[in-house]
Amino acid sequence: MIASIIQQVVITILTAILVENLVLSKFLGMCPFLGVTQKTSTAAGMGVAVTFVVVVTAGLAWILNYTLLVPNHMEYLQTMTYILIIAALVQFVETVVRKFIPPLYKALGIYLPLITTNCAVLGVPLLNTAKNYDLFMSLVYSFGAGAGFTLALILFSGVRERMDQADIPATLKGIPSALFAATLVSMSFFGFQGLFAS
Amino acid sequence: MSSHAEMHGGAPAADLGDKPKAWDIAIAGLIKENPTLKMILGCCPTLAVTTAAGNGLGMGLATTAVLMFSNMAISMLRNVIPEKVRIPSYIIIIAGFVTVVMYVLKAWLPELDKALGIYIPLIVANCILLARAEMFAAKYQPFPSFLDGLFMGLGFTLALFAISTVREILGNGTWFGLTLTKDLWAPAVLMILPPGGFLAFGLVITGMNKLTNGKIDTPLCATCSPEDGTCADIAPAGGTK
Amino acid sequence: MRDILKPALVLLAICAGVTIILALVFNGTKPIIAERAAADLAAAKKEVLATADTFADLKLPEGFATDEPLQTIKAVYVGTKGGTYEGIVVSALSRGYDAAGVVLTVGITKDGVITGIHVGDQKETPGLGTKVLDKAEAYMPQYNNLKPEGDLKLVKNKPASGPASDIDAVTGATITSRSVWRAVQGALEFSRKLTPEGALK
Repeated sequence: MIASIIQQVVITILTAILVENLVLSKFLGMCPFLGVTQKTSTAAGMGVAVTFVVVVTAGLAWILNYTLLVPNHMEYLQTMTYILIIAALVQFVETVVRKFIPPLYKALGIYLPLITTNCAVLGVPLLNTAKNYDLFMSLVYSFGAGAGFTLALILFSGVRERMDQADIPATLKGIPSALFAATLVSMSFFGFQGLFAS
Repeated sequence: MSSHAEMHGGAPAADLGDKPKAWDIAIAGLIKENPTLKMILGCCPTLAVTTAAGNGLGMGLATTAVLMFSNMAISMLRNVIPEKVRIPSYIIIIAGFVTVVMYVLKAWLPELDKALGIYIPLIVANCILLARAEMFAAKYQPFPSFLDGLFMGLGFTLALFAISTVREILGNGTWFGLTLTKDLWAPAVLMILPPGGFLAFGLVITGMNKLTNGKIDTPLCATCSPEDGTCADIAPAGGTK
Repeated sequence: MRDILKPALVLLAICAGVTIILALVFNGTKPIIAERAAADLAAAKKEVLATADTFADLKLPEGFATDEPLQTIKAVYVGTKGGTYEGIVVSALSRGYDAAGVVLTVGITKDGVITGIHVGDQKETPGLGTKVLDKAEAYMPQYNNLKPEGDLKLVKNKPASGPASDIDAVTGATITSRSVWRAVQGALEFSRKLTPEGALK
């Protein structure tokens, strides 16, 4: 019994990180992926912040959805509810971090409030609802999704830091070259497709 | 907040003056400030749903619909919404219209709804909507705001259409489902897979850059905060501008 | 206190306004959506079991899904025409390359002939998995009007002289091929649990 739960957890997390990577397969969280990955340290910080917000949001979203919306047949309020949870949570996290960990607040700076409009953060509770996960699996999947997001960001920032030192023609400088690099990173992850299919 | 507007490439907005002209709004939305190709806003759907020209077009038009009405609604309420709850209010209004569009699609265009999947509710997180609400609808009258929503949306649709055309023709040999080269040679399936999304996006932006002699270094969406009105000084990849 | 009250009230008012509009839109489109889903299902049933004109839900017995193929079964409909049992229609969700799975509707006559397979929602790899599911290609027609004596077997590189109950998987797309096989095999196994009158044994 325990063994099958552990197996399910491991498979879900690995699938979320490798097979259905939020950024490289589902294209969620593109803005920070392109905008925050010039330095690995900021990329990592963003990844951790997003993971935290994603997991807590998933939990709150699940609870509100199944105790309030579904019993009252108000599923049409899901989108609105989820994004409000995110906005409130990000506001709360910002206040707490500013008060208790000022150096971190300074380091993340303006990326913190930007988590509100991050497709990945809204996408995860929507995916949880679509996959009909129970609370435990929602949290597990959200954690895996956040971890995958962080991994993608860190990997990509490594690539971009290297690219910084290369000589790139003017038209391709910045976003276009970043996108071509992303193509290759995405291809490498594509190799994980079918990892758990038999 | 005015400094924030300026940072957001708000100079063109300032040029629009008190009563922006429809033509200026149109050119800004479609070309000069094309939300996806110039300001790199709304990237998530751009890459995810552009596997077929029909899907790209559909997503673009759905987003345009939301953009028009959310801009208009926010503009109508702009003097009523207190500063403190500006962002949450915009978000609620945007989420409302997105949900309306979602159910309209489910009822009358179920094929499109199935093809776009969760990316329809994700229109809420599309930076374009909040950015236009902040930069335009909050400052101008309802009708110009409606137009801004329309043309920004059409600019977005144009970008999606270009990218999905590239992906569908190269990756499937079809266009809008009509067979073009499918039977002539095996298409490059990679183009309809995730890596192809990045590639096509990069190609179209490069093309746009060449055509308009512009350059983008840092995506606006990731550097400017709606709350603080500040922008970080981030050295663009590849060195100095 | 004052300066928190007004913003909060405005926010609440906007929330309430949006909720009301959404409730109206939802209730307005609900019947249309439900009608469409019912029509789609009815069309799929008709397509896979053309000999029947009436379909009744069959209550699935507890613990009937003893193997993988049977586990794909989500619903079974008993098809009749003029009161006589014609066959069953099985709605299945079979694990494919994509985590969401492939939705399939399978029709099996009372004599154990596979009369039709309808492919529903799926997100298999374009060009590879989707080719498997394309009725104009070579894979799907293998099931047409097949009346296997035993079980269907999925094989690779089937020789020309192989038995009809051996289904040749598509090279490079074996996972999607297996996905379809699993659903059809499940439907077949379930159909054998029914008496010639269409009742559960």
